Order: sequence, then C-alpha cells, then structure tokens
Amino acid sequence: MKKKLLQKVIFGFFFLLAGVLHSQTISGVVSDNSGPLPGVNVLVKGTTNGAQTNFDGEYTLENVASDAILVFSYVGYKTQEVNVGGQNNIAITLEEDAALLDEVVIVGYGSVNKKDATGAVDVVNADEFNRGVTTSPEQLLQGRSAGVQVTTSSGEPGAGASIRIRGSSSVRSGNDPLYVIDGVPFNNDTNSPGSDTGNISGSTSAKNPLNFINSNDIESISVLKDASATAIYGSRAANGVIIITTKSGKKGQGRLNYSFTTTASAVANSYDLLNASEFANANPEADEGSSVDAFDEITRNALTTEHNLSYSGGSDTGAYRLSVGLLNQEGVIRNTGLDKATLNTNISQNFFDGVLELSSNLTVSQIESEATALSESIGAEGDLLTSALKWNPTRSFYNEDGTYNQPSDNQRNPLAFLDYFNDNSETTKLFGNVKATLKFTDYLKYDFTYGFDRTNAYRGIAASRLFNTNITLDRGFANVQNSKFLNQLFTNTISFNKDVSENFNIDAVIGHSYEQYTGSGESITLRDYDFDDQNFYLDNIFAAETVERNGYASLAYNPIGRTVGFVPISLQSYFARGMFNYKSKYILTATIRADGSSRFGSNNKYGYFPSFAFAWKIQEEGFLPEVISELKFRAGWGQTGNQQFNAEASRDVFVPQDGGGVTRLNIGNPDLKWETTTQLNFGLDFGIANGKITGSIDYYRKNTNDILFRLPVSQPGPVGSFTWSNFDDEIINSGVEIGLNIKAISQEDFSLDVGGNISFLTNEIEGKDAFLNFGTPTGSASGQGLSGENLQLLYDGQPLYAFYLPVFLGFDANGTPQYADTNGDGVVDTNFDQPGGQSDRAFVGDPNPNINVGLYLRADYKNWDFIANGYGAYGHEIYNNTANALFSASALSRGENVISSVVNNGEDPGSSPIVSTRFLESGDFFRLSNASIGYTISGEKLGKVGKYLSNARLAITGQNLFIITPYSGFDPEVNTNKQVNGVPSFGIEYSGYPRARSFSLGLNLNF
Amino acid sequence: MKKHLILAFSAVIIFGCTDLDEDLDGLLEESGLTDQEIVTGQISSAYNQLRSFQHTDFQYVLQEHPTDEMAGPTRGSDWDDGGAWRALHLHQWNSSHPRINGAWDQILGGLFAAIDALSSNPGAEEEAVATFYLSFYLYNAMDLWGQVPYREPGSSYADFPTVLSRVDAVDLAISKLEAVYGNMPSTSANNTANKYAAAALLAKLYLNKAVYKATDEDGTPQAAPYTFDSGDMQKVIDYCDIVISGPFSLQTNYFDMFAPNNTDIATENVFVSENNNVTGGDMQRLSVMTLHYNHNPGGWNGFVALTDLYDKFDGSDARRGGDYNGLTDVSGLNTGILLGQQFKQNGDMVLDRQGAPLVLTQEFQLANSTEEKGMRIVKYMPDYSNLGRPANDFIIYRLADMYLMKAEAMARMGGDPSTPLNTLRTARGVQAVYTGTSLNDILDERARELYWEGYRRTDQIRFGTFLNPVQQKPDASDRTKLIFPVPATALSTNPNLKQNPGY
Repeated sequence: MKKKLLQKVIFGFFFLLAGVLHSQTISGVVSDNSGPLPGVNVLVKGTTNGAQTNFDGEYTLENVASDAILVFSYVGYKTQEVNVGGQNNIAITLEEDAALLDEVVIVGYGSVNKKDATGAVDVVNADEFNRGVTTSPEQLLQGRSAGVQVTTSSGEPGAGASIRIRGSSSVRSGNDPLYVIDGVPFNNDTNSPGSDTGNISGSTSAKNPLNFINSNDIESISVLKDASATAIYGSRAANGVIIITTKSGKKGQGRLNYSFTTTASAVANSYDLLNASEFANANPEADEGSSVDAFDEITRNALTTEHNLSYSGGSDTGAYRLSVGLLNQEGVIRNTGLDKATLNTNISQNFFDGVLELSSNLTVSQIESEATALSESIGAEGDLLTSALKWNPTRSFYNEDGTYNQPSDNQRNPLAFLDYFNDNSETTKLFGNVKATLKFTDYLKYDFTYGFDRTNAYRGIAASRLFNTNITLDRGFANVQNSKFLNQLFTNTISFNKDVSENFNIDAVIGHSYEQYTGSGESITLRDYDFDDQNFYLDNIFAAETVERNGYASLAYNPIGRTVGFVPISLQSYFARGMFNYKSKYILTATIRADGSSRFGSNNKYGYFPSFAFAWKIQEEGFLPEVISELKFRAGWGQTGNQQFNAEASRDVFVPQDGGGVTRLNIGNPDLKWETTTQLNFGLDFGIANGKITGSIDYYRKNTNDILFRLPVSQPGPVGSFTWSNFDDEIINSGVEIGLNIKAISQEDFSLDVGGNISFLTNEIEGKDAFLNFGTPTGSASGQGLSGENLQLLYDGQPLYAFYLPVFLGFDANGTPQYADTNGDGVVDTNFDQPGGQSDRAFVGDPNPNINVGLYLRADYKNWDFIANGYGAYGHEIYNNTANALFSASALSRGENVISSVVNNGEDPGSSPIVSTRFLESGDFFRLSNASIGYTISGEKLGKVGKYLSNARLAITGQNLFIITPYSGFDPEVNTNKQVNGVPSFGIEYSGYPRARSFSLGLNLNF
Repeated sequence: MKKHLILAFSAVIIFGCTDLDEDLDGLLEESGLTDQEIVTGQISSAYNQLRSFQHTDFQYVLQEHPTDEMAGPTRGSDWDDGGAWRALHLHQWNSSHPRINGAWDQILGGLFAAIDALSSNPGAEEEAVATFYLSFYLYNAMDLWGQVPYREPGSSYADFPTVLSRVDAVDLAISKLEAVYGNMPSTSANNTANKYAAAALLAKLYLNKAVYKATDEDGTPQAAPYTFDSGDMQKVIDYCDIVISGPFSLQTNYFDMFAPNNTDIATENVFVSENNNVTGGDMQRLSVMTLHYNHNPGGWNGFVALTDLYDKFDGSDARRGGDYNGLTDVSGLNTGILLGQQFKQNGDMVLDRQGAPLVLTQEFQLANSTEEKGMRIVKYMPDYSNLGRPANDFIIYRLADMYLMKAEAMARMGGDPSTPLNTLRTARGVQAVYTGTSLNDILDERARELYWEGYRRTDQIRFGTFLNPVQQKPDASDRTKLIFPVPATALSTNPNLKQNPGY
C-alpha cells in the first residue's frame, strides 16, 4: 500500500513538471450529496495557486497547467485530487468523511471534540445509522455502539424497546437511559397508554414514546456511557444518557430534498405448526374434516410507504431547516400498523453582529396506530396470536350459516378476533425549545433554553357483542383512555472557553435548570351496546347501558370512570463543569450537579452528583512511533442517580373509597431518596496508520447502592400497597467494550470500511437486605395452567432477572416429565419456594447477554454504495412462555394445534408441562439487520430532467435479512413485559408479535 | 460586560428560587382531610374487604381446597399453576404459596382499615362498627395463621407491627367487640355491620375459642380433641339466639339465597358482601372456577366436589340441587352438584373441546385428570344479565349457620341438639326428625347446608377430621398443618414475626 502511495506522489511530481508547459483557466462547481458546497479549498497541487468556492459552490482558477492536479479539500470531507487533463470545467462531488472530521460530541450543556473527550462517549452520525424503515430513533443505534443493547419488545410496528447502556443497574422499572433531544431532557412517560382489558385480551403494551421523532431528521446520536460524562445530568443519569441532535440548516444556497421509500414485509420466521392432515393423523378424535391455516389467515404481506421532504438554507447570520415526513406502516399481522406524520423546524438567527443568537426547534407529530389483541398476559382463553397458533387446523372458521364458528371463550376464533376487536390509539405531540444565546465576548456566553413537551394521547379499545368471550358476548365492550402531559424546562447557563495562557485552556459551564412534569387523564370502561359494530361503540361510547367500575382489588378506588393519576413532579438543579486542557496533552474534567426533586422524601430533598475524569493524549508527547497516530488514555470516576419511582411514595396519600370517605393508599417514607450509581471507567482511544485503524477500549465497573425498591407493606397495612425504601443491597455491572473501525481501502473510486464493536458484561446482585433471604420473584408466566408461576428471582449472588426453575430431565417410559432433585432431599417438589427451601428449583441462567457484538461494512465504488449492519448477542437465555403455554402433548390431546416436534415426543398427554428448563432456550443470535445498495447519479447526466436536480440516489435495502440462532420461537430478540407487582422482568417471550423481513426500494432526490 | 453578567446571574437567581414541595395535584393528603372522612372511608374499606372472601385467589380456597368437599385437579396442562392447587389439597403448602400470600394481604388489609378508622377519632357507633371489623379480621387471621401482626389503634405506622399469639388474639377479639356491642347499629339491613352480624361473629369466636386456645408455647397448634368450656358454649347459644330471634327466616327455596336477585328474595342472609351489576366483588369466579369451558357461561373447568360431599346427601335433599328457574331455562345448568351428561337449555348435549359428549364423573385424579373429570357445583348462580359482574350478594353469615352453631354448642355441653337441627332440616324438606346423636352428624349437616361457602376448614378442624385422608389425599397430615405458614414476604417486612413451627 505504501509503495502505491509513493508511486502516486512520484507520478504527480512528473505531471507537475509537465504542467509548466501549458496554462489555462479552469472553473467548476463543487458539491456534496445535498448540493453545492461553499468554502471548499481548491489548490493546484505543488503550488500556492488556489481559490475558495463561493456560495453557489463555484470556483475559478487561472494559470493552471493542462496536466496539473487540482486538490479539493474541505473540513469534514475526503480530500480529492483530480487530473486537469486539458479540461477547463471540472465539477466534483466531495464525500463526507466522518473520521477526518474533528468529530464533535454533544456532552450536555456543551460539546467537546471527540479527540479531547475524557469520558466514554460515542457518536453515531446519520451516515452510520441502520438503514430501512425505523419508527423510533433507538433502532438507528442498534448494534452501532459498544455497550448499548437495544431490545425491542416485539416485532410490532411502533413497539416499545428497552435500551440498556452497560447493563441494568436498577431492580425496578427505570433502566432506560435519559434521552436529551436538542438539549431538552425527555420524559418517557408521555405516551399513549398501555391497557388492560382483562380476559378479552389481557394487558397490552404501551407504545414506544420516542416514535414521535422522524429518523430522517436526526443528525447524530451521542451516547454518554460513563459517569464522568453523564454526571452533569445528575439524578437521572445512572443508566447513561442518549443525546439526539436534529438536523439544522447550513450556510449556503437553499437545499431541497425529497425521498420516497416503499417497503414490503413478511413474517421472517414462524412456527412449524401441524397442517390439517398431520393434525388429523396425530389426533384423529379431534379431526373435524376441514383444512385451514389460522396463522396464515391473521398474517399478511405488509406494505410500508414513507415520504420525506425537507428544505433548508442559511446565510452568514442565520439558517433554517424544515422537514415533513409521512410514514404509513402496515404490520405483518392484519389490523396492525401505524400512520405517522411529523413536521420538524429548526430556525436560528444572529443579531447585533452575532452578540445575540435566537433559535428554535419544533417538532409536531401525530401518530395513529392500529393494534389488535396481542397480549402480554392473556391466560388460557388466548389472544389473537395464541388463538391462531392453537386453532385446530381441521376446524372450519365458519358455521354453515356463514357466521363465525365460535365454540367457547376458551376456543376463540382468530378471524372473529380480527373482525370484532379494535384497538386504536392516537398520540399528538408538540416538542421543542426556544434558545437565546448572548455572547458577551468571544469566550463568555449566556444561554437560556425553554423546552416543552405537550402530548395528548388517546386509546380506544372495543369488542363487538358478537364476539364470544364471557366478557363481550351479547354485551359489547369499550374502553377509552385519554391522557395529556405538559413538561416544561427552563435552563440558564453561562459558558466560558478561553486559552488563559499559551498552554492552558479552560472550558467551563455553570447553570441552573428547573423542570416540571404534569399530566392528567381518565379511563373509562363501558358495556352493553345495542349494536354489533364495535367501531360504533368507540364513536358513541355513552350509548352503553353500563359504566363499568374497576374490578376487585383495585386499591378500593371505584368511582365511575377513573382518573389516571399523574403526580406533578418538579426537579430543580444546579450544575457546573470545568474542562482544563494543558498543552493539549493533559485534560481534566470535573463536574458537579445538585438535584432537588419533589419525589424525594422531606428528609432528603437534594442529592449531589460529582465526577472527575482525566485524559492523557500520549501521542502528543512525541515518543510514540509514527505508526501510532493517536493514543489517548482516559480515567474517570463519578456518581449518578436514579429517581424513577412513584412520586407519591414518600408521602401518605388517600383515595376516595367506594361507599364514601377516603382510604389510606400507602404508608409514605419521608426518608426516601435517589439511588446512587458509582462508576469507574478506564479507556484507551487509539489510531494507527494515519487513522486507517481507529478504535477504543474501555473497562468499567458500575456499583449501584441505596437501591430503590418496594416491598409489600408490613401488614396490617393498606391492601396491596407497597413501601418504597432505599435498601442496602448492591448491583454491580462491570465489563469491557471494544470498538474498532478499519478503513481497509480508500481509493478514489473505491473505498471499503469495516468495523464493529464487542462488549463483555457481567451483572450481579449483592444481597444485603431485600434480596438476601427470600429474594423477590418476577417474570410471571401466562397461559393455561401457568397462573401465578414466576420464572425469575432477584437474589443475592445472581445476575438480575436470573431464571429460577425446576430442572427438566426428560420423560420417563410413561411419558411423565422428570425433574431434578436439586436440593438432594430425595423428594422432587417443583413448587416454588425460596432458595434453600423444600422445593427443587435452581438458578439456571439469565437473560442478560454476556457478549454483544455489532459489525458493519461500508463500501463505495464509483457511484455505487453499499452498507451492511449486523449485530448479535451471546451467553443468555430466553424463556419461551409461548411454547410452554401452547405446545405440549396435553394441548394436542385436547384438540389444539401444536408444533410438529410435539407429536411423538414421548410426553404423556395427561401430564402437565409445568414451567421448567424444558422451555428455557439459548437466546444467542447474530442478525444481519440491514443491508443496502445504492446508486447515485448526478443531475447533469439526466439531461433536461436534471436541470434543477443535483443528484438522485436509488437504493434497495433489506432488513432482518437473516438470523442465526438456536432459539425456536419467532425471534430471540424479544422482551414481553411480564412484570410482577412493578418489578420488571427481562427475556421472556409470550405471544410476541413476529418479526418481519423487509425489502425496501428508496429514491432520494437532492435539488 | 459587568452588566450582562449581573443580568445573567439574576436570571439564574430568579429561576433558582423554586419551591420543591410536592404538590400532589388530584391526590388527597391528610392535611386536607377531616377525621370523619377517614373514619367513614376506612369503615367502607373494611366492609369492601369482605369482597376478598368470594375471590378464588384468597382465603376462600384456603378454607375449601384442603377439606373433604373441594379439590383443584390438574388437567394436563390446565390448572397446574405451579402445583398451587394440589399443594392445598395435599396439605403440602409452603411459605411462598401464592394463595396464602394473597389471603394474608387481604385479611390484614381489612384489619388495617379497622385500625385506621379507630385511630381517627370515630364516634361511638362508628367505633363499635370499626371494632366489629377489627375482631372480624383478627378472627379470620388467627384462624388461618395462628399469630397475627397487629397495631394497637393510635400507634405509629412507622414502627413494625407487634405480634399477637393465637391465644391472645382470640381474647382480644372477643373483649374488644363485647365492650362496644351495645353501640352496634340495630338496623336489620344485611349489608352493614349491625348487632346481628356482631352476634354471629361472637358466636363463631366462642365456638372456636377452644381450638385457638389449644396452642403450644412455641405456637404449634394442638390437634383435636379440644376441651370446650361450657361457659363459652352458653355464649354461643346466647349469641345465636339473638340472631335467630331477629328479623330473619329460613329460606323456603334453598337456592334462592344464592340467586342474582338474592338482595331482594333472600330471607336468611344475616350479613353479606353486597354486589350489584356496577360494583362489588368478583362474584363470577364462584361459577366460572368450576364450570366446564363449554358450559354457559364458559368456565375455567377447574375445581371439583369430592365424593365425600356427594355421599352425604340422600336423594331427596333439595340442597343437592336441581332445576332452577332463570338458570336451567337459560343455560341448561342445574343448581347444586353437577354430575353426568351436561345439557344445554334446548336439551342438546354439551360437548367437550374435542366434540365428545361432556359427561362429568365422580372420580378424578388430583395430578392428572381429563377435562370431564369431577363433579361441579353451582351455588351462586351466573347472572345472565351481567356475567362479568353478577349481582348475587355474597353471604358472610346466614341464619342456618346459627341453628347449626347453636345445636353444636348444645351437644358439646352434653345437651340434645335436635330442636335447632330439626327446625333446619324441616325447612329444607328432608327427614323431619333428626336421628343423629354424634357430633359428626352435626359436622355432616354443616356440609350439606354450608358446602362450598368458605367455612369447611374451620369446621373440620374443630371436629377433628381436618388432618384425615380424603379422596385424592391418601395420607394423614401432621398438626402443624392446622395453620398456614406466615408468607415469606411478610417475614421479610416485619422482624417481629417468626415462622410458624413446621414451616
């Protein structure tokens, strides 16, 4: 390689000599993918003869030798050399070069050059994002950053996801990172609600709150991983911080971009269910003579279309960008999908010679989604999916009179389910901010930010009176939920950035912020409608004869309808950060944040979160061999907090009681405070061979204490209530993360980049109090005969969400399942009991991957570009609750369909498929998540059509192209919410929406 | 420059002075409430907690499954539920049993409501009513677990509850209620705690007192026989007589008292947990817990009646069930014990899930039954106007029990119980002259009269048959099974609690 380079230089030198012979004037336009590029340096190689492009990207150079070489260079773009070769008009398109760009990381209340960063931070820019249809931004990030694990709860369009940065450090919900969108912390609760329709479809999940962002509007996503980087966000930063920056206008001529994508999707993997004749052979008694495929009936080939239009521009004093996005996504299960419309504007303007800058950013989004009965918790009755999977394939869907064949509540007809059940939700959101920056001097400025998030969410669920369930038949059912939220933020900061001496730079910020979260809502359930059409119910809810009150055990609060309680929360913070840079070699960062939250108990109003980090840029010392172009050592320590718990937990709260008066809801804990995570991080950033190979290695240890958790109230106390406390137990996450990027080939016509990341993680609970003797069970199993069973136990010495199950040994000669006598007392007792008790259950695995990997490949050849992204996870288990509930000899014998492996598996149809390791499977997988091939053509080549067109790109993208996994369910990347009493679960699949495989055709036009 | 700085800092200061007091918009806190609102609400709450007695996840199943009248067989993959139902029938429960945990929370939650009402300056009648609930929930807790965690009204909720032994709990329950008995409301409305309900509770307390007193120093319950004090038995008779002489009469048609309209037509329901089509407990469970999937309403095909129960009836006993207007003509279901081929209202056979005729059998296997095994029982019948929220009131105390308790007390004092027993049997239209003399005949009569109503375990313990083998429970169990273990979660939230012996 080096030899080739040398050859080039030598050749160039000869050309240069020759060029003296003949001179000419050359002009042309320099552009990038989105249009003309102003300010590009154009230099005749080996001379001082050069020029800059103007606003329209045009340049003119005189006295250029006909065989000269022009060098086009611009910050953030790959430098290109072009032989003049006698031409006098040379137009060129520069390519962005993320690695060459002095990458800027937004770190919260400021930014830093990545090469000067002292903490473990990652930036993923738009060109590195995953390709294809994405409904929420974390999908762009999946597999792209070491230590960041994104698990979507199912394959449903708009499904929620759990994002874990460096593992889970909390035992309750609230393990998601803090999202900061254009400087405004985002509250995950502002969302269309989940629902619980009891035995019709059980509880269904809430949608992903981040769906409101149009992926096309995102410029970059910064991931702050270690405490030294996140401590500036204090009591909400223990799970890391994800900072999303949206696109803004650039200086220069107006740019117009339009893109259109159409995508076809189908179920990627499905179960090997028996067909009618196989079923009839396996269970002749249940043969009803028809031949149907219920799963096929409820699924479809789904079509998704997406339109995006944006225009932007800017002058020396201001810039703007406006974009409109429309996404219509069908799910692969019938009656599911979402319709999303977004409008995003970014406007900034300078005044008074740049002393004052005002900017605003506004996103308006409207999401309408259609769902069907897909449940997290449905019992033996079955939701749409389980009803379809177990439907006897020899049983007709219809009676002779053409009505649906609906034998009973326990044998629900999936087609009737589709026809007679509706679940619509609608979320409207206004999210944005207004900023003012006052520059006192070139090193001192004041910023004010007002941010807001206004959300209105609606969810309406209805089931026809024709639908045969005990709840709906002859009655009809409707549930309507409305909720609205307003979150507001006020931030004031003063920033100072100055070289105080030749060798010493100080970059500091101090600030104050005040945030307030408010919300309200109501939910109402109505019954007994006179008409069959459930859509009528939703449009005329009070046509019902009966208003349902809450069922039993709902904390005794039974008014008509129900106010959904959102307790206003206010958060006030003071923070400061200083970055001290000496000789660009030694960089020290220190931060402190004081957070006061109204959630905390009256005895603990403020928490303090300090951090320190140090970086040593070793390459600046000059003693490293030249091949090492960058070497930076980082060390950081810091404390962050977590305050995700019920806002009323610190106080005594009363609710109205059915029958009059009020009832005490809880016994408050005035000592309640935040949970503290202390994190230590060591890292090394390196670059080899002029940045051809770059990467980083990090080691961290995260120790969470003052664990926020709730235990049932010490009885006698309010029924079903819990007492929140800070427990002495600890949760320890530690791991190593490696990221590597290799520019394997970088030639004029051909470039190839490969890279990836790998992270190793261990997680353990150190029980000292709440998780010591009895532990805390979670992960409830669902389905026939599985009520009340818990799959996981939080316990001393185990990872979070460790599976605690009977160990399945196989079937004996009679087909009776055999389980291990794990406690060695000679009696096999599979009932649940605490560790060390009389029962035979053991810790048999956990759902937290030990290893996560992400790989990418990007190639450009002339006008072609190719990108492929894959990721995987290893060393964890998934509990297949779907198989446990549905696929056993017992199910087959009672006339339900099963997967083919159940036939002749030796199991006694009379025995019970209890929860056990029989249904615990390895969750290992590697997925080629997306690959895209594109061709770009410049407008000029399109003749008349291309007059106003700068370029056009056509791309074909495949998503979820293949997966390598031993897991037998639809997909190992799944996480059904199986929480127990508010303690979340992880790694359990139940009736999960199957994941799709998709192919898209996209057209992108730049004007 | 300096000016700008001052401006900026003052902005910080202005925003910096924000009050962080949590403003619990829309939620109620003690400061905004009167004692009266809390007293009224907690008495309502204590009453509403009676709903937990008809729920199949709580004390009802603890009082029925371990006895000679009910079991929950596993049917292939149906009804395994972690072995919870088998464990109850086989007396093999442990401290993590979900039904035991659930019952603990419900019963002691009721006790808390009573304590909180008594802590909030109630008036004299409210104090009496709240004390009734205090004694009622104490009685239920000591009956199931022996020891009872307890907070004396007025004590701080920040402290861990103290623990009453079973011996002390029974004395406390009786003395507290007797002290305020005179202030109990004299209304005869059966949906409020009145003096009849209090008399019935005191009769139960005195009748079972000997059982609770028979406790070893370490808390181990002693097995039968128990020594019943004549003074206590006379109290039982006195309190039963208060109810018997009250405004109640034995029901002419036995099943009327369980009907959806029992609010209107029941004549012998002394104290009920009221249900209507809008609010109430989860009454539907009492039918769907046992009915087959293809019955109407579609049930969960769960719990079955034991042959021991079926065999106690002679064929003429109307309490074993039959046609019922509003039930049989609507769905084909009969009242009482369901056995044999099941029919729809139009005479068609009910089929099982594979399409074969549904013929319910007497026999069943606890661990491995097919879907048609076991007899089912319809007592609280489905409310076809609102299956999900039936209007049948759930009976806490009824008149027949008073006759039975009185007869038992008379017998235990060495007297002749035939007068109250014959009154009851005549009303039921069976064998007018009661010939039985042994105590076990009274226990059998209690089964015929009160089966599946949630009293059986207490009765069997008092008569000394609880630990015996029954259908699908081959072995006798030891006396530690006379009480349930304290739930593991309760032990971890109150250091004053010690696990019961044997667990």
